[in-house]
Amino acid sequence: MINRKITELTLKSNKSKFLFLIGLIFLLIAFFFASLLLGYIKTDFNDLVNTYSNYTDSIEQIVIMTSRMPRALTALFIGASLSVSGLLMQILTKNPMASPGLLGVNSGAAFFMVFAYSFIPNLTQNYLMLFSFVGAALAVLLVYALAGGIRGTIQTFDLTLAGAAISAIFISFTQIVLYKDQKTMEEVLFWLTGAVEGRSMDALFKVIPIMLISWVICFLLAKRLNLFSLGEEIAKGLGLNIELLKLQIILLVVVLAGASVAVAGPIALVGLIIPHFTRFLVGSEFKWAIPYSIVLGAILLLSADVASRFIIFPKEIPVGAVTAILGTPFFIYIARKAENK
Amino acid sequence: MNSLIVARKGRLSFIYEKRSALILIITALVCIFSVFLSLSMGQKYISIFRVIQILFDGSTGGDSLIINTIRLPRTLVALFVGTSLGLSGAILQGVVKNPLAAPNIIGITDSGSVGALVFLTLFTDPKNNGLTTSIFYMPVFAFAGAFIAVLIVYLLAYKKGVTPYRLIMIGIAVAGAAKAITSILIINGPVVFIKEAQLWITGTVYGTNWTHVKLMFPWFLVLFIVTLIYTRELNIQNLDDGIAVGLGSSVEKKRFQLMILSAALASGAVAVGGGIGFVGLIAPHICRKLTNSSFGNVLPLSAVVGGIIVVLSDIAARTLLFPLDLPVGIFTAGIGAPFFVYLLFKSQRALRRGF
Amino acid sequence: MNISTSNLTLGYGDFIVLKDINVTIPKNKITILVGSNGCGKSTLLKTMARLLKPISGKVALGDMDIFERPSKEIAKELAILTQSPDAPSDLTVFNLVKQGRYPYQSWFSQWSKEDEDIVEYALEKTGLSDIRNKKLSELSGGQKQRVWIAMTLAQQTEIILLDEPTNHLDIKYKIEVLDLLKHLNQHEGRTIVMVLHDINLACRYADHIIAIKDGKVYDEGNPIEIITEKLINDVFDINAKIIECPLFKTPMCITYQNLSI
Repeated sequence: MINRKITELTLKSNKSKFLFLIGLIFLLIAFFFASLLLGYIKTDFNDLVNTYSNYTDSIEQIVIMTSRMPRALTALFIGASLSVSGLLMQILTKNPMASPGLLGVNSGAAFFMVFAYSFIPNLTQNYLMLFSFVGAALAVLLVYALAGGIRGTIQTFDLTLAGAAISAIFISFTQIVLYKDQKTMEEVLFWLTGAVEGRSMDALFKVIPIMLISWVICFLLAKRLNLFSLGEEIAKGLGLNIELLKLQIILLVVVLAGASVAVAGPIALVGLIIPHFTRFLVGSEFKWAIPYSIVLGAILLLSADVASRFIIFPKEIPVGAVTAILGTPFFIYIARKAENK
Repeated sequence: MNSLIVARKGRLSFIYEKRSALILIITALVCIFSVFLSLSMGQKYISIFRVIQILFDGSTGGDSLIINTIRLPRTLVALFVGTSLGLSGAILQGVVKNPLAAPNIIGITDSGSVGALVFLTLFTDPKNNGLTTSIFYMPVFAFAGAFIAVLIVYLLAYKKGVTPYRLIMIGIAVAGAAKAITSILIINGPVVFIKEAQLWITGTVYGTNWTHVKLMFPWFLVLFIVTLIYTRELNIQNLDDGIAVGLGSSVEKKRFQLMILSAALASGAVAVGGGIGFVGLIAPHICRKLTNSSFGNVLPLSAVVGGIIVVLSDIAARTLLFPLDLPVGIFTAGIGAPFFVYLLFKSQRALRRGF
Repeated sequence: MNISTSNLTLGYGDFIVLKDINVTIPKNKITILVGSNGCGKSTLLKTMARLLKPISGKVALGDMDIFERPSKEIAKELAILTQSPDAPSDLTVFNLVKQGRYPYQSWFSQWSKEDEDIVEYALEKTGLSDIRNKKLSELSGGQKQRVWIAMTLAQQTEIILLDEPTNHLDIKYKIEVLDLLKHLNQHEGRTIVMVLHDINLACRYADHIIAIKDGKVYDEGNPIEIITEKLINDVFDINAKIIECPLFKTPMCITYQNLSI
């Protein structure tokens, strides 16, 4: 019965894994261009080329340059980072239902962001992002400490509980602030649902390098992650420093998910679905799972963002709402399939 | 045997643990006290003796008006919302065999929000942002939203029967989708929506009146009695399915009935009070700490403790930051969450049951 | 009341575990199902207790199909103890044992004199009377297993089915539990059917052994008659030397892979 699961892998040989990855990258590029070209204001490929070679200040070019390009980049990098952080969370907790949100990332970021927005006037976007990031990191550290991580051993179950409790506290705080300050409420609502538009290139270029570096570190840890997923006892027996690795995983999750939520708000389900889909395609060998997560996560968020422009056209909805709605059937499918008793 | 109260008459026979009966009486007294406290606290302080005098003498005048038209209905709604949520949580925890389950986990609260927002979307006049129908129909929509969601969760989790695991996971998914729909409706709607919706999502008993009480009381009473009848079934549900079937219980059928019961209680509470969180999680926990996991103890106690939590939270919500009348949901979460953390670390081992 | 199966085929989905099983469980005897891991002995036991539905074939309790009778009626004739069952750890012994009376109770009859007497009897039989108010979390593995057995006793059934009742127990508690079951069989004539891993304990306690191999009943009968070196080799895929147990005179298997080590 166990063997059956392994043979179910869709892509078996390294060659097919590689070729499929190349195919996905092409798909990613296609969606990237779709994100640049589709929307309320009609643009075509010439507008895009001209924007970066022969800039004339036309509406089309302004839209591409200041709105769609940062938006597409945001979707790409955040989709990828969220799914990698989800992958890491699922290994860490050995729970296929885990995602960064479990560690309180979203609620911590939301509270700090709303608090700063409401109490410190005239904050620039960069500072708001910084506040969100600090909030996300603080929430994770609290959850980690509360779940006993400081003493050295950490149980999935405690992590889940502590995450739920810390989230609830932050949500409650956020609600108090929002309740007292209605104006903030109206302005941050879009962010609170998760949105990839309205970020400046300037802000993005501060985040992208950090994400890239984190991805590289994940690659470097791939072998150790493989060992870790065999079980802690076995990994320890094979000479792996488990506690160090756990800390590294947590830090990577903080950086990746924290930066993502700081930029785009809490985008639901990406970090949950993509790792699953990845494992369905290539299994849990991390040298494949990591690039697949990156590419698939980017594709998902780019396509969801394109969809968000057309669902109640001409109005837009937050991309977080789109991923939640698109993701729900998938989640249900997994939940129904996961347990075959 | 002296730790038990046994009553027998002919074919009728009942049993209750003495200690639990004592605890139940004490908490019931605390509950009554918090109701009186709630009647006495507010913008104008009215002493508890005066409150009692007004309630039982039927005297009229300024204080009586405040109590009878504002504080009493609001307090009673808070009480019924709390008792319903406490009971609902206790039932659900038994059905999914997990002490961490709560009505909002399977999407009851979020789907209730969708119902409430559908109401606002349908009946808000875009010209003057006023409602084109009575606000009293909002609970009906909220109730329908919450209840339908539970049915959807159950149906989606069904695969030759449902398992606790699938119920929880699919509940989380449905809750996520409901949240997304909520934000789409809010963003798509007029600006006045945001405040109304946010207030509702946080959970509040502000502005409730006797109509709400009249709606809630019979609903709650009937469900409470049905719940007590189902106590035995819950005790069986809390064991492994194999054991439960072996004892002759029609596990799947009872599980469905109990889900419906839990959903009906929570939906009723959500319809009137909005998304008041944490009560359904915390109340049964406290009760298990006070007694043990036997549902004969947990059920009635959860109702009483749930009532106490919401009534006390509402007192805090409207007096602590006076003159601000905060949504009570902020306080149930603000008090509930830290308390939950405390519980978590007091009883980590006791909590740990296969998930 | 007899349990018997006719042309029973069992499985999960399209995966067949057991095919065309025809066995009759002897009344007032201890029957033990043996076989290697995954051979379907637990599946068979659970089906006999109506926990699993067969793909085809019938399980009869007396002369009635077990799936056609009300579940509560069956619960008065047949009790099942599943493998390592779980219950909230803060329940007391009494709380749990009391649940065995479920099939006899109704909402208006929650604690009759009969309920009380039988629960008392079950607690006493299993030596739990003095610790009835202890929580499950305070009990040893052996005590916990006795609580579950007490619960099945409170069900007051002629037949008791147990799925590996000695799983995860220390050897001392294994013997304690099996002795208790033997006692119930000998002094009260209860029919006991169980799945057991340990072939030597099975030989010692069983009146009747059903050995399962490759989805079929390989052989069944009294251990003294059927346990042979060939059976051990065929069913468990291991070599064995059979000797007579010096204490109980039942067959005893000394198993080995390769004698030349």
